[in-house]
Amino acid sequence: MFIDGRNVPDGTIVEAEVAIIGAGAAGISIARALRNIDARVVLIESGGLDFEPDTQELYEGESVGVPYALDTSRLRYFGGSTNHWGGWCRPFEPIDFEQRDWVPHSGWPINRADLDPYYVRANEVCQIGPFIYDDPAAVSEGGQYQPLDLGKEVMTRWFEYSPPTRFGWTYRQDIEKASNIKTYLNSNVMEILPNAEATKVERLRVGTLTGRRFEVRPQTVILATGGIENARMLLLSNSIEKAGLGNGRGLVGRYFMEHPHIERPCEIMITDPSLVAPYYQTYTQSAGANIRGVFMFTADYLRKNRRLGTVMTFYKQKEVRTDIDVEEKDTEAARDIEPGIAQLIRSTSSKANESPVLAMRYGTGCATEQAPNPDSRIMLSTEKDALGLNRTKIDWRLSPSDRANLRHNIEALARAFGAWGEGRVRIRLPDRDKWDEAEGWGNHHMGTTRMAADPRKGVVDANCKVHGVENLYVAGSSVFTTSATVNPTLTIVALALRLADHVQTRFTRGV
Amino acid sequence: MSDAISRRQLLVLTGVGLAAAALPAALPLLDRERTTLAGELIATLADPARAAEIGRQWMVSTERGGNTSVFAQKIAKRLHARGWHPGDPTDVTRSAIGERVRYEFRHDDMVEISGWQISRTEAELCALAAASLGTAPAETEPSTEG
Repeated sequence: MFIDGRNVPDGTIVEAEVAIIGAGAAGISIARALRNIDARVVLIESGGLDFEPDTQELYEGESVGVPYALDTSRLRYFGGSTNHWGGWCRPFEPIDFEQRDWVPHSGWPINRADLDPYYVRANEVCQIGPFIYDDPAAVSEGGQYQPLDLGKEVMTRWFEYSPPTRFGWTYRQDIEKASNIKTYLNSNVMEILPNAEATKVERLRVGTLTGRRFEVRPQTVILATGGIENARMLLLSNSIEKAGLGNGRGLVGRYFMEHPHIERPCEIMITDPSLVAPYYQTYTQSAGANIRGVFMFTADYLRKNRRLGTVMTFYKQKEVRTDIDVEEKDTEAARDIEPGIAQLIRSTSSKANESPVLAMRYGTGCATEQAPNPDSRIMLSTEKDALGLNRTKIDWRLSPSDRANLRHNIEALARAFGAWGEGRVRIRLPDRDKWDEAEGWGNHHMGTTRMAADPRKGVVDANCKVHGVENLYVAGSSVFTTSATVNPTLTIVALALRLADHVQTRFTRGV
Repeated sequence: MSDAISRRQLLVLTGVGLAAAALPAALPLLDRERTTLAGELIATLADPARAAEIGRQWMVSTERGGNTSVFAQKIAKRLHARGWHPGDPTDVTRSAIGERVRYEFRHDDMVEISGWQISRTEAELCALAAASLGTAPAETEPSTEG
């Protein structure tokens, strides 16, 4: 059942076993998983079924670190940011969950094996097709398209694409028809109110932009409002805990991470494009899935060289020819010597030819891992939104070492292509320490309620329960301890399904 | 020799060989060998003129000196360690260089020219071409870098 919060009488009290705050990828995944169980579930969404500027405006805030737009990448209505996501999916690597002594604050309290069964289920939720991420045989089309043999440092991995699933549209009926779920639209949780000891949530204070106020009294609360808003919501819940709920150690909002996306950090020249399987170059249908091959860095390489991860895509850019038209010729030094580099490769490879086409130049894109940094954080601004709540203040920090790490990884890519023999790499990443605002970000918001077994090191435990608060859970990328390199949505959904199982088990056991 | 070598480049390279042949008998044999050696190595290049431009840029950007003899001997020494000998057929030389180049990439022995990452031997082959074709910057002190 869908209920417009603007029509709920002032002072109404809604009782429920489970309250889910936020109807994005995580919230909808959990609600679906809990549909038709013997428990009343309330799903509370700030927006309606469509985009509304006044609601979206609640996302605005201030940025005091690396310039960052708070109100453009997120969408505040039913379905959340899945209403415009790109559909890139891939599980995290096993090493991403490990404690790496060269990455301060790394180490999840769960590992990849803990998530494996949920990744398979998340794949279904995201309508992706067969789970063939790490199966070269499945995507080789009978052996026709083999991955490039790039040695021990660089590996080919595959993304699979969601259509992309618009969770609000695709799963609306599941949610609306579920006998045990009431969805309150246009309803903003303004504060999560615990008992006097701040050890248990008792009620949620809800308001609408039209001024209505009501309460939800749940036995269990799942906060699923996104990687930035989850932290803000806890910080705003400060009537009892002045520093914010679950923030006794000052960790809520810290460790904000993104995936810096650098356009064309390097170019790759390859003598013969036929050596490059189609799945590297664009979205490709294979074995019932829509896939794309990317370059990542092996766990051995990352350990040995003490690096953070990077994922690199590439695409055909331009033929490198001997007969360049002077009018078209790029005067850049690198372009001047480009045909010479191609001839140099052909001098020592088996691919010398008669054609004026010497090689193909490929452009690249990349997303790279950012080291967790407690000073990179979400805070509350002194400015207030239309509900009278403090807006978000973001102080995003990137370190020179994050940038140096990317440069080193690209050098590893250059080694790999050179050792392969038929390719060379030109590094375009400017040789400077600072990140530039012109460089792109992934719009992936992670780490602000990080997961750690030790309450001194994280906000939530391995079950995504807030340390010290017995019935409050957090879903979404804010629980990521480290960011990995690949897009977060599949992992968000996998963690959400795991959390739904956990909550359901608690109800089954009556705990 | 690759089809990509122009008539002009052929003349230049032939000139290198002719110059070697015309050297006075009194000139130490080693020098004549060095000159011939340069020709052998340059003959593996698909496009010596373009290689020379890469070599020139590398030498300018690194303020690197060096002449034909120095570069040829450095490269030959590395190839010799892989069983190659002066006078081997061009295809054998090319193959030996290819193996060496891939080895250098595997062992992170790369140089950067305008962002391009190429192996040290490739860079020195290009510098050799520049020195042989007379496009190298004026020589300073010969580099002793190995």
